[in-house]
Amino acid sequence: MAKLLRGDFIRLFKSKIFWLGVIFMFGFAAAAVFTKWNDSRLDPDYYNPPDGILLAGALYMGIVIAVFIGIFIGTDYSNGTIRNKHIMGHSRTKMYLSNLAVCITASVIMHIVYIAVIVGAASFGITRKFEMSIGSVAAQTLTSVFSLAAISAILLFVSMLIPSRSAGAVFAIILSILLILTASGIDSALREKEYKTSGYSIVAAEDGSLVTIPQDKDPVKNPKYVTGTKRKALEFLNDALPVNQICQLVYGKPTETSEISEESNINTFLPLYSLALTAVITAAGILTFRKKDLK
Amino acid sequence: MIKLLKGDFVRLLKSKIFWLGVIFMLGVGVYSVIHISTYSMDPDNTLTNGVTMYVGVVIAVFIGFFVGTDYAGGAIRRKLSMGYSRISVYFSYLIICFPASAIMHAAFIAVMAAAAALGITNKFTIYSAEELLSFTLVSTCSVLALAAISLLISMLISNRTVGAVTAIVIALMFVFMAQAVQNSLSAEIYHKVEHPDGTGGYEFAYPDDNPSTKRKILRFVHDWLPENQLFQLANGAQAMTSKDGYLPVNDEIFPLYSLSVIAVSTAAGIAVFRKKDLK
Repeated sequence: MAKLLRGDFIRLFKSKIFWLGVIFMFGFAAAAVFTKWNDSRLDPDYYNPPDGILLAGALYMGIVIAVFIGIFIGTDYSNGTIRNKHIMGHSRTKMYLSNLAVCITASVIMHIVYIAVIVGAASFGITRKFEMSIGSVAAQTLTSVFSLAAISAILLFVSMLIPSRSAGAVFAIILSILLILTASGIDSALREKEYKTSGYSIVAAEDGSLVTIPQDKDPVKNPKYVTGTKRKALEFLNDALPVNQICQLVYGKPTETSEISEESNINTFLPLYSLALTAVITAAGILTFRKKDLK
Repeated sequence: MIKLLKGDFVRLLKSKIFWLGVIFMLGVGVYSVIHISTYSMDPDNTLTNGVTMYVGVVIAVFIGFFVGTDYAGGAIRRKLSMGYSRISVYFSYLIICFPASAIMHAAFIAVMAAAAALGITNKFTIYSAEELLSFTLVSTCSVLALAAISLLISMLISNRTVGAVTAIVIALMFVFMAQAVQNSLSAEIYHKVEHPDGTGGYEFAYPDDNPSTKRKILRFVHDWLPENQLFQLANGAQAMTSKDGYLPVNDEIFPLYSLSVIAVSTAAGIAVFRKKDLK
């Protein structure tokens, strides 16, 4: 197994697609820092901390990971490397676990590069200082690492089962987009209020000032409000799915009373959910890969 | 060229990835119909938002695979060795990809329109029939421009995986860029004002009454790029940016701009493809 891991890690660090991913996340972080810096420059009176962008990269990193894993693993298939490893005597379980270790390492490195730029910018005064404590920054970073490991496990499962490099890469990207859309959908659903408020509109008066005009309506029951078993199921998924976890870290746990970015009772066991999901997906992947025809 | 087109059309109709794309867009339409009818929503916004979210990526997947498979299988090299010019091969792909993209785009709209007409969902309230037709035609021009861009990428990258992935990533970047430009043009609604007498505060900025050069450039980009056009068609006028009213949607110019995008990307694609080493 050590030889297998060594070979795969050497291949990782020589991989152009890996370094492209690292450069992309660096660029993404730099763009986020620039936006914060520019906002502070335009409005110096408003304290604009970088707390909101700490994990913004992680929210969309699934797509980057999907591109990397799809091409990295797909190349092994199309070159016959996977078959060669098997012929050399490496068990399918070890091959799968070696790929998992490499993919998780790659994802974590890309994520840490992003985080380092954001934290570095705050430390050097390019952006404002964080409003949250260093402990919170560390806790969020650690939790998101577990979430990204789970995302890597899911995308590896897909790539190991689809032998066509192009189909595997595309399917992984589409799956990562679906995970993001699912996270957004569940978050919105859980934030729906039980009653629609009476509502108001903001219009501009002739002198340029803002005028709030209340709409004279009685509160009505919101048909989109989720209750009962469905709500419990959505809350479970919101804690279990990795992109949903990152969404919670960025926007706060969604409840009908919480506003976006308001911190409220985020489940401290999110890393355990990620570990469990990683274990289950990996077990399923190994079982399926062991029966796969590698010809 | 006619033989080339006939062969490519037959291949299109047998292409699994094409039918998967059509089924996917139909499926998105059906899902939207179920969602709208469950909550008794009007279908107008769901129709337009669905267009922006999915169609560019779906087209990129289709074109990336359709052209990439020809590269991987050696079909492009065979066509050239049979005597077809590189220009005619490029144009054949363009002519095939246009109706394919338009069909995928129309699939979603057709499901939504049929559901409203049959009473499965509420009727359209914001858009009249003429406006729906105009929306369909204008958005189709934008979709064809997106197809031309995806074709440019796929024809330049002979590796099927890299070509398909690059086309998808660029389609996604177009979506993010469109959102960023829309946010930027809508953002300067309030600005801090201080009057000589010491009063002030946050007031409406009305940036379109006296637009800066940067704003004019952003406005042009927002009208010229096809995904940005779809964004504008989807989201409409979202912010009051002038004393006369909302951020305008210049949809009457979109088809012309889409045509220019198609012309530029096709010219660039042909220029590079003619010099490409196909070994």
